[in-house]
Amino acid sequence: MAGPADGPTKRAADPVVHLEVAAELQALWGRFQGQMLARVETLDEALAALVDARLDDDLRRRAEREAHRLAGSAGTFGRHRASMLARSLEELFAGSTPVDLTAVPDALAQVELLRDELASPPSAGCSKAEDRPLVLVVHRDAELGGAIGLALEARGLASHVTESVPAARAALGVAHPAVALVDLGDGGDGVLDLVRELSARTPPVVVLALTSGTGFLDRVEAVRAGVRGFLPGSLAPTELAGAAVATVEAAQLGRWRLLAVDDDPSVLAALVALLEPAGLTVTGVTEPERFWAALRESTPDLVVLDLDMPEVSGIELCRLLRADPRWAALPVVFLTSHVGRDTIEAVFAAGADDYVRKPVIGPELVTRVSNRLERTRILRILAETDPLTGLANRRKFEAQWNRLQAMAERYDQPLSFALLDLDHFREVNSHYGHEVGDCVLQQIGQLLLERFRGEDVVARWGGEEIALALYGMTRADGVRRVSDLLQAVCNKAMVTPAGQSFRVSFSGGVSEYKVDGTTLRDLCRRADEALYVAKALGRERVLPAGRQPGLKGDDASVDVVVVEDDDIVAELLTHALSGSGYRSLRVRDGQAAVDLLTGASRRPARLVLLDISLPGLDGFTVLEHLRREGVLEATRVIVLTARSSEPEILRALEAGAIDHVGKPFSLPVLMQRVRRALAG
Amino acid sequence: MTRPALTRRVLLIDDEELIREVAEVSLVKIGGWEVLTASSGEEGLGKAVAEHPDAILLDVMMPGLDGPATLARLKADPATATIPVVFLTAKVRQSEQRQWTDLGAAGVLVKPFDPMLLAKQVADVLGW
Repeated sequence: MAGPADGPTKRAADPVVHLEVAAELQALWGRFQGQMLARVETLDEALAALVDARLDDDLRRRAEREAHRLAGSAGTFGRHRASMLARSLEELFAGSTPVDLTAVPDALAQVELLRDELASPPSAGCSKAEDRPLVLVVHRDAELGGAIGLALEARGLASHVTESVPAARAALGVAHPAVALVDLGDGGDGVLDLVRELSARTPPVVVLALTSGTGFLDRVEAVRAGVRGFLPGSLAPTELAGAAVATVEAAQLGRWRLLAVDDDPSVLAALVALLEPAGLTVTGVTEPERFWAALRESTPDLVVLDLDMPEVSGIELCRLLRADPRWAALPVVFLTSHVGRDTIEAVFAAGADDYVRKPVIGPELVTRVSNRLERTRILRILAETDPLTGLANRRKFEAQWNRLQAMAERYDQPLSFALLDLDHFREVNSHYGHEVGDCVLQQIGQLLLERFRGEDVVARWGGEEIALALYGMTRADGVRRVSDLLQAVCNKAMVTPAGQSFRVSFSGGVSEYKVDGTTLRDLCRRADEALYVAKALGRERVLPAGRQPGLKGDDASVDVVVVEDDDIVAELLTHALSGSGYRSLRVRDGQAAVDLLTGASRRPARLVLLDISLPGLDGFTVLEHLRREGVLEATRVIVLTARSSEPEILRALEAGAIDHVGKPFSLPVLMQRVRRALAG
Repeated sequence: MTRPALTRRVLLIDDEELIREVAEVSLVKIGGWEVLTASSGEEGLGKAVAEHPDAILLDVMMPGLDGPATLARLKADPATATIPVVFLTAKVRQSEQRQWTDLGAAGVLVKPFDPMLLAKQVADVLGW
């Protein structure tokens, strides 16, 4: 053992000293944990004040200081994530510039994560088993890389942030990322070699490249190296994280999915162990009654059924499956410990494709399952792809949509549907001929595949119509995304086989799941209505569903009712709401609001922005009416109070309002509250 | 052969109790040094004069007399002018590091520090 006379290097390397220090540090962590959590309270307080537009300089400075100390303390204990989170919050509150309101949602999430991190017990040395998909971030700017990492963590992914190619390689030695976000810079430092290595791994890592406006880079070379998508480096970290999330989801969609039903969990565990390394995603179900839900959720490519379950027999499940046209073609493989002639006959009679004997032997199972899948694969690709554009066809889209919808439900994520239609396509056909028309569709399909590959679901809906499923995107997000696409299409010259070049555009409509409808058919109808209006307004534009008055959909529900007597304030609000893709309706006084929301021909609304001081019935009275009529069960109310007077606010909250905003209000803050109220 | 050194004494000036405690563990257990602590620049100046430590670890950001001001006082007093001072700071910009060493600091260590490495880093900076 190293003695006191030895130097620090030698003593630090001594395992006994190391353990002693570790034990003392752990004790100190326990002692200071409460203090650190108390510091988080100050950050909470400051954020709340910020949201209410009452953050004074003193509180801001205190928050900055507490965040600064948290960053230091947490980092000292090796809590690097907590330290990074605190550092990010410190920056938010730092300096003389006004605090950025758009950062508030992220900051709220960061405070929550920070609290979790600080409250969690010390991990035993290295990282614990990680089942979240990992995203590798390679960015020269450590700060930006860190911010992207945080945004990824906030979206439920694990992240590993490195600053250089060698550091990224070192990281690959210990973990296998699903996706890599790589800052290509000017293409130097062997970054393309790294991309090649990532793409060559098994399973391949999907590489998304961040490109800066100034850096020179040959995209063709990057694509050859294996880059699967380009993202402008100027995107916000949250947007980059969103792209990574979509890619991870898509990568999982791209894997073969297998649903296995067996009452013995050890058999399921064995299936997972055998089949996941072969590139299959296995969903295991031990209770047969969970089977149908799991089937809808995971839309498997193949089902493995246990023959001998006590409650329901596998044969029974297989028969039911075959009786449903949606699943009639799904390959089914049985697991059975009986291989008597009768059993085998019964298995095939029920509609099974194959059987595997128990106990399951690795190579046999993998071979049988993958044979089955390979055979279906070619048929399926043929059946699911539109031959002209290479996009998915409508049938495939519908299947994928069901899966995304189940995911949106489970993870409480938005999901939007977009319908696009090429402008003046008939003229293109009559002017240049159908061959050129086809050629345009082909080129558009190519452009869509390039821009959306590995992310959302793109399909040819029929004729010159294209449908998009945008997971994780609200209607407003979708409109923005599709408008970007429109820009790209408009900028791209179409070339005829004869060498003539011309440009095309499209019009589009976007609807959101649960906002505009719950079935694909309804969403399609709503998007189609918006598309129709986009055409009528002169084409070459993308509109959200339902914001056009006087249309068929006018009798449907509205998102937000604005009850406000001041015309200017009302105009400001409705404008901001429609700009964010919400359908709003404004009424001038309390009586009109009560009539609208409770009358015989009532309009269901999700949210009411209610001015408290109104002519005639005041806001409190309106609230009282709404409560008595049971409207508040489905409709939330945010009150707008002229003064931030506490008794008034309390009275409104007691009367059933969920939130209040003081006038004069900040529009971004109010919109943030609106989004939160509509999301919750 | 390592020659047995006299036990060195390090004065640690930081307003944050947590940092003092953690650093002390590292400096005592791994450095093998004796550690004196002070929670403010003022208290640190007093202890520096009274105890004449072999080195001072000095936090930059402190209420009252901050790190640079404390350093200036230490350098101005002949009784403490020769004690090497190492800054501890979260501000890591190169230009700022230069600024600290220009003020007469022997070195700059970055916060948050790794307690397992702190003593070694201090020893490296001071050439111990």
